[in-house]
Amino acid sequence: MRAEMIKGHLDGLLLAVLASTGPLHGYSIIEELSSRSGGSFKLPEGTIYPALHRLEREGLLTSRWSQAAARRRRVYELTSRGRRALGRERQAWSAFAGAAESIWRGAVCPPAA
Amino acid sequence: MPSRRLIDAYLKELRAELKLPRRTRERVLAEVADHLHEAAERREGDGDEAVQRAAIETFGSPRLVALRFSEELAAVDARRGAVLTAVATAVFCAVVVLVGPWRAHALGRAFGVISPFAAQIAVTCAGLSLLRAFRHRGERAVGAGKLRWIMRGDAIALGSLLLSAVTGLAGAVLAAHPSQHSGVLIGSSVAIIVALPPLFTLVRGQARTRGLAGFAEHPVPEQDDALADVLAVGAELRRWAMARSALAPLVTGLDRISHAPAVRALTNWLHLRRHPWRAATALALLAGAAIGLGHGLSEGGLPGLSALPGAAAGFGILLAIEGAAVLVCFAALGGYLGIRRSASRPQHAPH
Repeated sequence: MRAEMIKGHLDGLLLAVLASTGPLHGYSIIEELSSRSGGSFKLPEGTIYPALHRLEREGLLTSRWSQAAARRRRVYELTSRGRRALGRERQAWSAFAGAAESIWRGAVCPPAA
Repeated sequence: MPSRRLIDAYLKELRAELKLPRRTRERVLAEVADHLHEAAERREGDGDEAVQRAAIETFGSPRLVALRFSEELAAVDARRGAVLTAVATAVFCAVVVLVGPWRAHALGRAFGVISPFAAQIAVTCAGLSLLRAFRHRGERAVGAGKLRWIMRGDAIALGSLLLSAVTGLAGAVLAAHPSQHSGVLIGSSVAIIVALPPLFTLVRGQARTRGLAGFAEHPVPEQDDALADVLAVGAELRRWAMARSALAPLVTGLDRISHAPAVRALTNWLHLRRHPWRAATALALLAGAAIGLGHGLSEGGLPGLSALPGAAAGFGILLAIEGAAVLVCFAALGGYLGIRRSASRPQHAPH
């Protein structure tokens, strides 16, 4: 899947991953995104960090340093505000997906090569 | 300890690219280092350059990662700068109104001439930037073209008010008896001090985005001009008002007026996107008439029959000066601030 397609929904996807797994660091978040999408979601891994920092600045995530295997890593966790935002993101996505699906349903598409 | 030459080189390059405050930059570099080392370990053979290269490739280039951070922070800076510039402009306008015409020194006379025009330019530019910042307040990635417009509006507003305030301050200091002009002295000083935080924010935002090729090349979105901003914010305010029972009848009444055939014909005739110069001329005439009338009324109310020719001449002169100033500003800044569409771009999107 193209990176631009994911970029527009990245915030919701990050919040959704953290809501279901609990606190995670950046690398594990990427792994979760990849495994849950069956390997479909491939984006430059470094681009999730600006998004994580912004979500933290907006109060949707909180983060702290933790020590693991002789390495310091930054762990991110959803806040209660982040949970509410996730609800809104999910609602918006459902509305968008439903509307898009109803358009696709009416289209006659040639089979993919 | 395995060699991590490629990862270290990547981190060094990223450090040079990141335009972030020192503390944030160190945190980002620590997170990225952890990420790349873990990615290399998971691929087995931590010391192997091939796995390090693979980890770096999937992470994205230092320039791309730095660009994403700069875009995010530039948006924050642009919004904050727009609010601070609007505050500084409001303070400056209060100074101009409170001080009024001032003639103690040549620079004082210059302040008297410059400040009304500077105030109008500052209000227009700061207002447009604030409107755009408000429209895009909840958006994650504001287009780089739009950010440039917001920053330009702030820069022109701050430049015009600083030029005027510095002139006023210098005039008051150089006057024969500076203590007699404490109003201008204090007012200009306050206006300059209030303009410093948005100026700092603006310079920081510019520094963050400069040198990032991706940001500089980002195109200005089609059909996204000042009119689009006004319509988008208007639609948002309309939705907000309709959700309140006390305001809903007012909105319905305004809707009825705006849908009247005569009003529709007038707004089509003066459409900023389709007829920019016609709209600008109408605005220039309106502004000139408002200034002329305001000046006439403040100078002694409605003139008697005998004073009518003189009052009409004064009104005409003010209308001509103000109208010409509005048109000159529209010609000079309209395209630069995204108020009118540039002649180099197509007028209509191809169908």
